[in-house]
Amino acid sequence: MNKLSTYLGSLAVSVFLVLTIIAASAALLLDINVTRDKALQLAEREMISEKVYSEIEKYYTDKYGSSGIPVSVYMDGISREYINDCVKNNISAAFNALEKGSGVDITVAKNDKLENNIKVFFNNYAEKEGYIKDEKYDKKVGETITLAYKTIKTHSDVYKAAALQEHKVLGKISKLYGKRMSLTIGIIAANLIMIILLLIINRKKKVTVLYWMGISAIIAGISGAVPSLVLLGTRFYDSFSIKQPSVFTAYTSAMYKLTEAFTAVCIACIVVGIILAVVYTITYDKSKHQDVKPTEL
Amino acid sequence: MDKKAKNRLIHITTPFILALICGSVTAGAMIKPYDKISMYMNLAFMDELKSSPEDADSGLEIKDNDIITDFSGLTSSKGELIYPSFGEMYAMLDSKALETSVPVYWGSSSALFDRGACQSTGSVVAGGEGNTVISAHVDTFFASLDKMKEGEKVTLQTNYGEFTYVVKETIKFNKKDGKYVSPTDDDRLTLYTCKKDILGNMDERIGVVCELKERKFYNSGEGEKHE
Repeated sequence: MNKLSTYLGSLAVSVFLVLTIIAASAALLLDINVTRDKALQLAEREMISEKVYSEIEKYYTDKYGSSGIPVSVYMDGISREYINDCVKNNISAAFNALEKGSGVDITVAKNDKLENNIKVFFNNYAEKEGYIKDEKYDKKVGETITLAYKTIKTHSDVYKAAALQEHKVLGKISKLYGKRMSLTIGIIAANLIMIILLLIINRKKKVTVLYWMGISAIIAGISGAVPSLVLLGTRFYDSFSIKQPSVFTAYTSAMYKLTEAFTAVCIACIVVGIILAVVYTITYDKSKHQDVKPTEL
Repeated sequence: MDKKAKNRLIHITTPFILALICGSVTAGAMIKPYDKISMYMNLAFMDELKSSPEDADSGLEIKDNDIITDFSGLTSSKGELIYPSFGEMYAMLDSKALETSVPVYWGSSSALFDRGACQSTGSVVAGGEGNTVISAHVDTFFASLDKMKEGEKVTLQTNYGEFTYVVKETIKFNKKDGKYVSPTDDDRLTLYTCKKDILGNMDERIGVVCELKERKFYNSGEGEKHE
């Protein structure tokens, strides 16, 4: 570090190294964690389908005041397993849209029991009221069944993929998602290039590279870990605007999980940085006294 | 300063210099996208109270008041309106057709609809100038609203006065049609509910428009004796 040009060159490369280390950590984490399987596991762990079931039940309870259709007509035909399948299918559909860059195709499986319950209710009501079962009657029954499926579909779309698509956000995310692998490889390659540049700049005293890499890793780790710890410590994601329980849980649990993982990676960077710095210190001291041998006894 | 000390100083200060440069570079690079990012962030994370979904419902503070129904003091046709807070029961609605007194809450939510009739916060409070819009469920408090006839008397009692309306017309409209729930130049009371017909159009609403006939503000000073 005696030559000013070597020092300044190393400093400049280290600045980029710090930034690429942070970017690589984030890209790797997103690559590993933002996947269909991880999202399905998270939904299972957070029991999101239970929340969806309760929301649908509450929706029909509230709706009774205006529709006059008792909640039991719907809920007796909707099992928890059925909702769980709907939630899983919707998450898969959202990831299909992300991967293929196509529109999200959310479908709800046919539910014969639900359809039958609605038909029986209307039939009993029509008979009780002496209502003639004409075209209007059939249309009304059909509309109610369609609306029931639509309600299930809307509630089980916990990541609101349909809404994101409607607002043209999903397409933008999809473009980024499709390039995630090449982006990650690119950032890791940039890291390697920075290390190689450090080796070239410090070719006369290669051990110094350990110092630059060490302090870069420490600073990158601190720069990532401090804001992440603040986010976790203040429970920042709890201020998420959408308070619909299933959507809130789906999004905040994913954000907390990612931030926790990112914090762990940053702490690992700090540890690696400290190790490199310690190795440098030891090696540096040794290299200074390499000609001095202990007295033979 | 000897070479060793100088070297140590460089080794110690370099990480700080590096951190400072990285911070500055990041801050500089973020100046432009900051506005856009902060807008999205503010929208996505706007709940400063950080309430959980379970607490979010409890954000509604329902307040039940004792409404004066037997005021015997002085009244006048002019007085001060008192605007309630969201979720506050501030009036009692009476009419022959409804059979029972219906508590009126300021604002609407499923929890409030379970307790009484709800008044749109975009409308004027009872006795105010303009349209007072009140709705309730057809299976509970407004089950008999369809029985209300033209000329029938409807009263709204509050803690600041009693207001008498008379049914002027019965109405039928689609829930998306704002004609009857919009502000009006005349002083009126609009009551509505869903149409009690499971096989009919669920979006159809029925109700009555009532004309304000008398304002009686409760006074502590001069005025007429309330009967």
